[in-house]
Amino acid sequence: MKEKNQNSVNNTEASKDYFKSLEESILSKALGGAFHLPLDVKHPFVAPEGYFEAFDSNILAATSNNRFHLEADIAHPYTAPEGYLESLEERVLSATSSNFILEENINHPFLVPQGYFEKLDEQVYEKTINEKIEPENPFKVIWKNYGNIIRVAATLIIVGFLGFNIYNNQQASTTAEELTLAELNTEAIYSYLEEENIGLEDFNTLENAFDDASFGESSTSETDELSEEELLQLIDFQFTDEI
Amino acid sequence: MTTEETIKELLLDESSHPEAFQLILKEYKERLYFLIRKIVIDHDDTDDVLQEAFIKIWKNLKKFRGDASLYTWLYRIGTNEALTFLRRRKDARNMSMDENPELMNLFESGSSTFHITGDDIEIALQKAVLQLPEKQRIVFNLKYFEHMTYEEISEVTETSVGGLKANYHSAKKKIEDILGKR
Repeated sequence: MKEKNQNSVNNTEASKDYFKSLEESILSKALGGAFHLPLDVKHPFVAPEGYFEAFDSNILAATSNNRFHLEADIAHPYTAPEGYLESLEERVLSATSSNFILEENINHPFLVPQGYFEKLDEQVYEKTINEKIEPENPFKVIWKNYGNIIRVAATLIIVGFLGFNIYNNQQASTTAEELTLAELNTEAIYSYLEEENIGLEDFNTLENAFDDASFGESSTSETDELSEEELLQLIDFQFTDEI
Repeated sequence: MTTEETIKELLLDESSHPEAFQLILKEYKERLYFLIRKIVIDHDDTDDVLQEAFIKIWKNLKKFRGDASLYTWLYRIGTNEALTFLRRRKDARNMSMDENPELMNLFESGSSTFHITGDDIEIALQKAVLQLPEKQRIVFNLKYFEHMTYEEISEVTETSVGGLKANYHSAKKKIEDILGKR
């Protein structure tokens, strides 16, 4: 296979040589032996080394009116103090609150006094399961069952009582002038006598006045002791006297 | 059979309610204690609220629906009792629910006794939590310390899962801000 390839290369070169010599022979015959320039003569010029690599930038520099063309990869001259960048992240995180991340497993700090839960059981049982149910007060039972009825009845009684009193007062005001000395109690009489500055002499006069008007106790006590029959006779007697 | 399943079975028959209650007390007293403690902070207040919560649980055993989660039902009673306690105290002092200077004072005075202990980050986290509004504080406690799912928290607080997520993330962000500034 290799040999075959080698043969084909050799054949191509042989054919090139053949065509070149053919061209030469035709030209020499045609020109009648005159000089003719071979077709494959190369020029002898060589460009300076690196000329074409620098050509683009040279042209750009020449066509930009002498403006400075900034290259793309000029490095800055600064350096950070040693370890600065390593500690920067930590310092920024601690300075900005929003970057604090709450851990998942922080416990609460509360403690229970010793023996608390043992006592709690007893205390809760006393107030729940072991609570003594005392017999209910009968008044409470009545109030619970008939409370509304009692309220209504009490209201009606109060309203009725007030109405009755108001009615009585109106009646009393019409007969106020008929108030007699007998309806006054002893204290009221004493206070009246003190206020009016009435002495014993005046009081005796008052007693006599009562006697004169036949209001004395003796006359009533006498009549009290009389029988019904005697009373009727007395009335008849007084009646005939007046006539 | 798990303890919760045993309790649920006992609750089906009213005559076995005392036995069910004893199991509830045994199984959940510590969890409910710390749930309430994280809300009211002081031990004595926690004791009062916890006993009230268990009395309420005892009185409402008949109302417990067997298909619901016992654990979230108990947590709801505990949380509500703790919040009612705080509200009553704040109403008496004309304070809003989101003001917690009193709880912060209780926490700091508790730190001086043996009822609160822990390393710096534990103390700092509690102080940060106390600066949250009430609702965020409850959601944060249930999610972070009790490791409850949003669905469970939703049953306890009776709020939507979406709202809870927003509350939790807002609470977490605030806490990280507070702890970051230490």
